Amino acid sequence: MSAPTAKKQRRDLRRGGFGHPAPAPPPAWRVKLEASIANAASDSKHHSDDAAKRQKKADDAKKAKKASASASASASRDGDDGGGRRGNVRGGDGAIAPPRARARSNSNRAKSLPLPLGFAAALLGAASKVTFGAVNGALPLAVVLAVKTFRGRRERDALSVLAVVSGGVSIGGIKVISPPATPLPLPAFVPRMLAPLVVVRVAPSVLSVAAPGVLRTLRFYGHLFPVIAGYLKCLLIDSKRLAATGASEDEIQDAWDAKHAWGASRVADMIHDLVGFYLKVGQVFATKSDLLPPQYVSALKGVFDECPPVPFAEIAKIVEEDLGSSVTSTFFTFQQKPIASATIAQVHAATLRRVLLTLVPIRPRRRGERRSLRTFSPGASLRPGSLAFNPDTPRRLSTPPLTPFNSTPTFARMERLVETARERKSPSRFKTRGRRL
Amino acid sequence: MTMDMANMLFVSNAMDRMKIHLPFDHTSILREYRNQVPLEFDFERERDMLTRIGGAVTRAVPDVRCPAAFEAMSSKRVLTMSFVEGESLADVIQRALNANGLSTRAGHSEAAAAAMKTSPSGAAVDASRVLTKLVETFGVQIFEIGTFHSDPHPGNLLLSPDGKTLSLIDFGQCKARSYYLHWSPYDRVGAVNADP
Repeated sequence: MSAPTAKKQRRDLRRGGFGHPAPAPPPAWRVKLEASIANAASDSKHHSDDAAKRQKKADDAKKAKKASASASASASRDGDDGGGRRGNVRGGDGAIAPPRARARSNSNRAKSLPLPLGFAAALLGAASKVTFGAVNGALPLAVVLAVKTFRGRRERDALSVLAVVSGGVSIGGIKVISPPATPLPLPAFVPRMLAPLVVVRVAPSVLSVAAPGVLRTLRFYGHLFPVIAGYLKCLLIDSKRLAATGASEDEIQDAWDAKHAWGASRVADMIHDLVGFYLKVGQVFATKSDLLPPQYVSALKGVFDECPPVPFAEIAKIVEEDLGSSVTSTFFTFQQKPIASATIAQVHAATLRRVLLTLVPIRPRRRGERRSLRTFSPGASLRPGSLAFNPDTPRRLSTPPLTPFNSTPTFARMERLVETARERKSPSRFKTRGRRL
Repeated sequence: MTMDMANMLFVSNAMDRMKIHLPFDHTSILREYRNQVPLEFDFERERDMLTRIGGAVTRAVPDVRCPAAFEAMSSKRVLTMSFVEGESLADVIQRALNANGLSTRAGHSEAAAAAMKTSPSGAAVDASRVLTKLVETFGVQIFEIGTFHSDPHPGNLLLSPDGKTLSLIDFGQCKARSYYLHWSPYDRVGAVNADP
């Protein structure tokens, strides 16, 4: 029960209970409200002995009153306020009735309860509920904070596995996993504590190990939904309100421009956060200056610089693995600083036997990407029958072997080498632009 | 990566279905990228394309060249090519446009094209000659060998310091036309007409 409602109760208590002589019969909405409040109070009875006692006392008082009025026949039906509610048959003594029916009957009684007493009971019930909720929430919070202090990733992962295996994870009252028989005798509050722990702390690390693609998807939509919501708000509320106040076209356009600037910064944030393929697509769209709003183009300018080069040690490892010999023994010189770096590759200059070459080692992909590309990827497989298979693009098997007719002739190659060697003697201002879009 | 693509395609399709249209066809662009980008990770394919297209182009068109690939020092992840000297056409064009201040006045781009130089104090560039070469190059690629460089933006075209030689780089995105399209009668007419 929220604080404003409790406050309102207190106010009503003051007005109804003291000061005012003989209050007028309450209106229908108020009767309903009071009934629901009393209902909530009876719900919280399980958590608070005090509330239960009060409620019981109230029930007794009510019974006595009812008996004196000899109105038991009408009280046995619940729907006497005429709202079309389905009547619940109340058990004669209330003890054997199902909990639902009992709650209803309590609400029925509370209607004719003396006002101060009913509100006091409700108030007490609410307070007990809040306390219980606080204790219930504070324990998991404490556990989460305790886990946060773990520095090592391995411990956290081990704990996450334990959390899932020990089972009985209930999130918001819905059982996700219900183990038939827990090997360990766990008290009931353990799953309750584990649920928020799993959601807040453990789920990301489990996902990053088990299904990195899912985590990326979640992050993608987490970035995108605020943008969509912002545009919907602008479309449905802001522009309509401006139009209703008689704003000019320019003012409405200004509002849209501001929204574009905001959305563009959010989208740029998303691209910088997720990198990978989103960066690649962002680069394509960043060149569409005639199509996208100018705010987007200026915000996306940064995506071209967002390719920090892969450290040289990794590059050297790739070269060594693929070419079978180390960088220093393969190349005469090898510049450690790349000429250019982009999403897929980065370019290093190297010389081989005093001939200037350009070397393009492929960029090692990120963890999640590589996994999804290699294993479950109908889109990325190049086998016939897969989505990415395009019969138009030549496959390795169908490419003809290199012959003098389809490759650069040797003499042309030699000529070029000589030429580049000559040009190297006179240092030039020109440099290669190796950026790969 | 497939998942990234699927997410973006989903959003794009949803926008189409809800009749929210951006001023360009994002769904088609994304679909094409879904097919093309995985191929770009394969440097062996890039090397094949480079040898095939580069060989045909350097033979057919004078003053056009491509880097030479070194097969012995290349793999799926490493590609070793000869160094091609030059400045990207994008820089040359941008410098020419900036020289007299950016403007959308009529005749400004023509004046800029006439004043193109390979460096601030370098040789003048004969823009129409460069353009003719570029068109010839792509005629050879599309009509003769049926395999073509599908990403020829100015950043991938290098101009040599003397302003005469045009170099084509970055063969990561290449497309081959299908056998039937390549040998259809309509295309033969096109190829014959293109032949001088």
